[in-house]
Amino acid sequence: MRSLLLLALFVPAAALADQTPAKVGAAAPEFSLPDLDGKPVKLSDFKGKVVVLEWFNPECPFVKASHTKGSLVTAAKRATDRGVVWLAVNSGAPGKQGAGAEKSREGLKGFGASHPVLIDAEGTVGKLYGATNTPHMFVIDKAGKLAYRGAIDNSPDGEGKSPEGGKLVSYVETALDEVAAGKPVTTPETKAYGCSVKYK
Amino acid sequence: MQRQIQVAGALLLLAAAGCKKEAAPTALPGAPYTLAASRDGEQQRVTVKTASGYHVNDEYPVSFQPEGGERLQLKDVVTKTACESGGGFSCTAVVAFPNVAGTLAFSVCSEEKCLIEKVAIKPTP
Repeated sequence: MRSLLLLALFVPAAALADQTPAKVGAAAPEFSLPDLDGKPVKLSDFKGKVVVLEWFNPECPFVKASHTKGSLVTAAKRATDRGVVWLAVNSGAPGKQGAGAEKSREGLKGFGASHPVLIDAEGTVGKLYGATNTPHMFVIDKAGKLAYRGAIDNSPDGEGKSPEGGKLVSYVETALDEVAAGKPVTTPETKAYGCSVKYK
Repeated sequence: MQRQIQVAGALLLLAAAGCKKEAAPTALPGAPYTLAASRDGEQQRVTVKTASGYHVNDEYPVSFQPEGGERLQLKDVVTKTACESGGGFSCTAVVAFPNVAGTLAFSVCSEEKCLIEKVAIKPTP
């Protein structure tokens, strides 16, 4: 029985190991992760929809700043209001800053947000997508292709008050607009800023 | 995080006219860095030195916001010194801005966490 349980735990990781790492313009890798209630959520559950993945650590000061002052304030709500699926992913290893379901739940409450958070304690999906920072943003188009990967915006203080070039640009909102219009994303990849993902 | 820095005039070691006045590092209780302020004419120069295990976050846009004034972006005028321990990180950053009261924003990180610091600065005598 124990062997079966172990097999059940490791099969998804083994399946992921065979996948090609995420690449802009290519199919976004499939994954299955538990939400805060332990219910498995698969990317393929949202086939035909635009999906945003937000790498999340509720105790990272950049995540806090973005969710309370910067570009992530109400961003998930505005996106979901237009039919976009917004999923946060917490790839923090157990015991590390901001990791786990309980801290994620507290973080969401503190930010006044209600979008799903998926727990990636092994970091498998984070590494598959090349998530290096929190926040690190990914936009997947209706065809399931990765359309954008990078920072939420061009203001690496997280507050939207220090935009490079003087004008705040929300890369994710721009990508969502362009994807919705069926256009190629003008800036498909940027360098993410913020805390490092607290992998194992 | 708002912290008060009071650089006492009595601590200034060099007071001769025309010399840069250096202040002793100001240890902030619990903070993983020290700050030292000196005056250079109309400018104030602040040195951030990280504690062991921390480094200056090179990606954070260092800024100074004078009281009642507009935020000054200082990212491109920060002088940084590499950590003795290597790793490609900077452990000291020196930044200059007008010698007025305001808030200095910067970030330091360790392997475990990053901090965004906003420190209240008073003019250096």
